[in-house]
Order: sequence, then structure tokens, then C-alpha cells
Amino acid sequence: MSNITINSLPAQTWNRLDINSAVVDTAEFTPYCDGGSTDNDIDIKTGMGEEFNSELSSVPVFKIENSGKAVVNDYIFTDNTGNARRDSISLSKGESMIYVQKFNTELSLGAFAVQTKIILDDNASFTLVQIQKMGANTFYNDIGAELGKESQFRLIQIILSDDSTYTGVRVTQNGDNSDFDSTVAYKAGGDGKFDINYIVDQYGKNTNCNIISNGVLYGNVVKTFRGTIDFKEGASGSKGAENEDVLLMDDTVRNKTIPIILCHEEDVEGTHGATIGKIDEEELFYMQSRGIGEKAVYALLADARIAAAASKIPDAETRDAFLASL
Amino acid sequence: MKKTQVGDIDRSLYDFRYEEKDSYRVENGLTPEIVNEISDKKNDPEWMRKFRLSCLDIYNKSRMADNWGPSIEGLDMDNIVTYVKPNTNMKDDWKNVPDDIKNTFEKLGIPQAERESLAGVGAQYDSELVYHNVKKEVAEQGVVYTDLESAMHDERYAKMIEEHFMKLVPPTDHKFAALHGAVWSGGSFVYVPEGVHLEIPLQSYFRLNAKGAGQFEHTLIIVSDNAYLHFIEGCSAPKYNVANLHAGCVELFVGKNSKLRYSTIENWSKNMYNLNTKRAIVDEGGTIEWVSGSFGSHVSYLYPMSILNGKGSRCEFTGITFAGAGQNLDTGTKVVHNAPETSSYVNTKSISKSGGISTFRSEVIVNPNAKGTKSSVSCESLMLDSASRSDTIPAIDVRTADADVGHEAKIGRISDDAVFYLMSRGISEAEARAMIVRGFADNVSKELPLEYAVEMNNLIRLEMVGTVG
Repeated sequence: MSNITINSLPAQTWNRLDINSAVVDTAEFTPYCDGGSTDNDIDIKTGMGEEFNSELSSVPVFKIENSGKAVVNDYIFTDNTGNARRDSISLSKGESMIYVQKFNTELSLGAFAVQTKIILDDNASFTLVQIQKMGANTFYNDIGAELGKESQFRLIQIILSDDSTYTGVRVTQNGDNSDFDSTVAYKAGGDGKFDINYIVDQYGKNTNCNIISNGVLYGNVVKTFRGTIDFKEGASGSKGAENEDVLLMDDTVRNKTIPIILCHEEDVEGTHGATIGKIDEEELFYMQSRGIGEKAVYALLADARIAAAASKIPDAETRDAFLASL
Repeated sequence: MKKTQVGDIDRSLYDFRYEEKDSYRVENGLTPEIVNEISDKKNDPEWMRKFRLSCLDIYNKSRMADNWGPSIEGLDMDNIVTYVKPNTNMKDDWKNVPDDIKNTFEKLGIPQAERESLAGVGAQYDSELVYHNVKKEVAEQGVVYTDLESAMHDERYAKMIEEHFMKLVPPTDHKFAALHGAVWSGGSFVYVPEGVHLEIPLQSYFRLNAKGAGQFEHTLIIVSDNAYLHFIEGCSAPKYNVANLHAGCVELFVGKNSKLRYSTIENWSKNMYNLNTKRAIVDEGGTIEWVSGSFGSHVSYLYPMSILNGKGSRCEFTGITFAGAGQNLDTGTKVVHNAPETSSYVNTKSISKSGGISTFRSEVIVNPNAKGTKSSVSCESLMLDSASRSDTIPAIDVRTADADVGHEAKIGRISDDAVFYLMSRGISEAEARAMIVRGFADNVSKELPLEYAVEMNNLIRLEMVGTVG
């Protein structure tokens, strides 16, 4: 067990806001299953940062191969599995792959960690779908990706969390004309923390980045969303956008948001927007006038946000199964 | 690619200086002896002397955060003179102010502005006020506008000053608030009685002439219930090749259903470290409006803060920051919603050029009791070249579900579509680009009285040159 700092902002602010990073007591991490090798590890930056990477360094890495159709891995954590899993994906020039990770457990009050590292060569295209249903547990989800010229990385994260979830995503767009598109949808509640850290470093020319985060908070959860778009010098013609929309269901939740744009290049377009609050009164009135109670309205809206993200899952079987489960 | 050329701020109007003639200065550095010397010079009441020394203690024990904000490595407190008194006392007639000081303020247009459009003026030169006056008809309404030190010794106001001084910005707030508490000098006290609407503004102007010196003025404004005041402050200094320091403090108390507009045109020279603290607390139904233009300083830390403490209280913040060569300006605002039905609206712009660094930093906090709060923050940044930086770091912390909070930010260069649109209406490209950049700064200039808007526009002189690249 270690006390470490994760999900740090690259450009920090007032310390008393307690928003610059998260400090956690991690569990001891053991491999989810046999196999893999630490030789498969890739040396790239990830969203949770160096200390977390070190925590997992002894956990073997599985190299996920492109089979030509969607690769689906269902990680069901039980008493008979370990609690940590690491995957790496390297796509060659022009390769294309869809990878679905599902994280599930029936256990309670444990801690679990996954790490996914991705390298995309020129013109490669990669879609990563993560569906998280980890119940009342602490879940660490760390992602790092480096994008070559004209490569595309699409990330869809669907998070249903009843305790603490920490997610870190770091994407380095080295290649000109590379594209990163992310959709995060979540329903987070319970008594824990919901902590997200996105960092996108745009180095190449004409790179594009789009982050959308939509969710609902309930219970006593404390949520922190950190989204940093960093236009490096030389990234001319690049665009970056982040948008967050959070619905607060209960008065006991707490929402912290810090959408950052860092810019060292003139010829770029960066935008961010955040909307935080309760349901629009007219929308609520409309639903209630149709006989739907307030709690049910919020539940409907939460499911709608999740469904909207799920509808983007390119693998039909995964998509349909998930939508049916809602 | 067509590029936009924007001239640097023209500082020739401000970059003049006078020799310190027969002025009184304490030694460099910061010791209890120096603090006591300042206190003796001012004939402080005993509570203030003790307060100064306790602040020095807090200053020595505090440290600056090292994980955010521009570097202040170039600021060596051992080389800063914290008190420079010009060889004159405060006058209420410009005729009696020594020539060099009077000429300073004449060049800056202060006496003229007073004659034409102000209800009262305070002029501070280095560490002391050299001129203070308020129009008779304003004083007859019960408005008090005087230097803070006189008010502190005046039995009519002494208790009020003691009850309010550094209660809103305590010395424990940060290291330079503590420094201010230890060596503060000069500044104004304003009291607007209940029901009084002062339609014409009051102004304070701060000029730091002495090389290697600090200015630590304190402004305390109390606006009673159902009253209105517009207060304007301006500042400038000639440029030296050593550091100067400005660590002033502004505390504003806005009563029930009252409105206070606080406008600032900050134009310190590029050797200045501007570590200023401004805070307002607003009672039920009250409104604080900040209008802030930041054009000067080498390094700036400036975040006017509004505490909305009464039901239905409001805050509006309109600002522009222009960071040119050699400048690292970290500016923004903070709002705390601490009562129901409060609202805040923040609209800021920034321009970065020639290697300048502009950072917009903000916080909006909505406390659990602030039900029905609405808040909107909008910041827009214009980059004029790739040597410069522009960063946006806005933090939002919402602790109730019954609130609507929105934030948007945009960063980029001048839109080619907008230029094309204007050109298709017969406007030349150079003028089109000039219009767009002037319009970009319009959010602040339109909130100022005309004379100050003109001054602000004069600070941004534009040369639009189209180059075929």
C-alpha cells in the first residue's frame, strides 16, 4: 500500500482549492491473471502520472493483438483473480482496430486498477471502448496514448460508479493531422470520489482534439473533472475543444471542474465550456405534467446521457447488449 | 498568411521621473526597526503599531506557493525601500503642491479630470498622499473622502477604521498581504451614507516615482445601505532597471441594496512587481461591479474577489489584460456565492504579444447555502504571435444542486472570416483588423467614463500592417 499523488494538473492553481491533484492510499496490486510480461510495457506518459505508473510496474503487460474484428475483453474481478491488469496496443501504419474493455465485479470494498497504453503509427485508427460497472469499489483507470501522423484515437468511456473512481487519460499528439475524440458518460454516486484527469498535448500541426463529458452525480460523491488542452509551439492550425455538462441530482454532491487551455501557438482555435447544475425547470415541468415524478425524471436523464454515449460504440454486439441492460 | 501588427503600449506619457529632492526614506529591507520607524512617522495609534509588528511576524513565517504563478525571483525584499516620503504634506489645493509633484500629476491629467468630471481626487506620490480634495457639495451630502491615516486619527471615524481595517483581507491571507499590513502607507477612506447616490466618480491616483521603492497604499470604502458610488483608481510609474514593488490592498464593504463600481486602469512600468489584493463583501441586494484594465507591470498577481454574502447580491467583473514583451501577467477574479439567489457575471479578455505571457486564473465557489445561484464566466484570449503565451485556468466548485453555473472560454487569433466580412463592406484590411482588435477591448472601455475610455484606447495604439507571407 502506498500514499501517492495521481491525476496532477500540468498547470496548477491555488492549493487551498484542493483541485491540483488527488492523493490516494493505493492497495497492493496483483496481476489479474497469469501471462503477459513487463517487457511488453511501453514507455509513454499516462494520465495518472509517474507515481501510479511505478505502483503498477511489476504487473505484467498483455500485448493486445489486432484480430481484424473488434477485440472484446470482459474483465470480471472475483476472489480468484488479482486486482490489476495492464494492456498495451501498438498499431502499425494504416492499421485499424476496435478494442472493448468491460470491467465488472460483484465484490465490495476492494480496490482495482487497469492501465492501457497505446501507440499509433501514421494513419492508424484505434477505438477504445471502456464500460465500467465496478459497484462499490475503488477503481483506478489509467490511459496513455501517442499518436502518429494522421492517426485517429477514439475513446468512449461509460462509467457507472457507486464508490470511488479515478480516471487519468493522457494523449500526446505528435503527428500532424492526428485526431483525438473522447466521449465520457457517467453516473457517479455513493460516498466516494469521482476524479477524472484528461491531458492532451498537441504538438503536431493541424491536430484536432474533442472531449465531451456528460454525467449525473448523486449521493455524497465529490467529483473533480480536470481537462487540459495544451497547444505547444508549432501546433499551428490545430483545434481543441472540451465540453462538460453535469447534472446534480442531490444537494449533497460536490462538483469541481477545471477546464484548462494552455497556448503557446498563435494559429490555433481552443474552446471550452462547462455547464453545471440542476435540470432545466421547463424540462422538469414538461415531464411532471406527463405523470413522471422528479426522481424518475432524473433517472431517465441519467440513462439518456449514458445511452447517447453508448450509441457511439462501433461494435454492434457490445452496443446492443449494453443498451438493453440500461 | 496576413499577420496583424499591434504596436506596443506607448509608455512615453508615463515614463518620466523627478529626482527625489529632500525626501525621507527608510533603509532597504524589512526589520522590526523599520516597521517601528514607519509607525513613528505616522504617529500610529498603539493598536496599529502592534498590528504592523504582528503582520511582520506573519510575513516572516509565510512562504509563497512554489507550484503556480509567475516567478518573483527578481524581487529581493532586502533591496526594496518600503517607505519614501516626499518633502511635502498633503494639500487640498494644487497651487500648494510642490512643482515637480504637481507637474507629474498635470502630465497625467489628474487636475484637469478633477475640474471636469470628478467629485473628489486623492493623489499619492511614493508613500504619501500629496493631495486630497472633495467637492463641497459632495461633502455636504455626508460623503467622507479623505486619506486613511487622517481618518484613523479622527475620532469620528477611528473606531470604524479599526473595526474594518484588514478584516476582509487578513494578513494571514498570503505573504504579501502580511507585508502590506506591516508597512502600509497612504491610501483613501471613503464612506457613503445611507441613501446617498454619488453620480460623479471619486478617483485616487497612485504614482511611484522613487527607484527601488515599494508602494503599499490601503483603500477602505464603506458604502451604506441604498447608496451608490463609482470609484476610479489609476496608477503608473517610470521605468527603472531595478525592481519596484506594489503590494496595495483594497477592501470594499457594500451595504444592502447598494451599488459600488470600482474601476482600475493599471499601468505600472515594466520593472514593477504588482502583488495587489482587492476584495469586496456584498450585503443583501447589493452589487459590486469591477472594471479592470491591466496594461503594465513586469509581473502581476491580481484577482479582485467578491464575497456575495447577502441574499440576492450580485457581482459583475469586466476586465482586459494586455501582456507585451517582458510581461508575465497572472490576472483574473474570484467569486464566492455565500447566500441564496446570488449571481455573478464575469467577462474578460486578454491579448498577448511579443513574448508576453497572460494567464487568466479564476475561482467560482458556490456554497451549500447559496441556493438559486446563477453564475456565468466568459474569457476570451487573442494571441498575436507564437512567441507569446496565453493560458486559461478557471476553477469551479459547486456544493449545492440548486445552482446554475456556466463557463466558456475561447482562444485564438483574429478570425479571417470576420476580416473578410468587413472587407466585403468596403473597409480596408488594415482598418478591418484594427476595428476587430479595438472591438475586442471594448468590453472594458465601454464601462468607463468617456475620458478614461479615451485614455485606455490611447494605451493601445494600433498599427495595422498587412504583409503577404
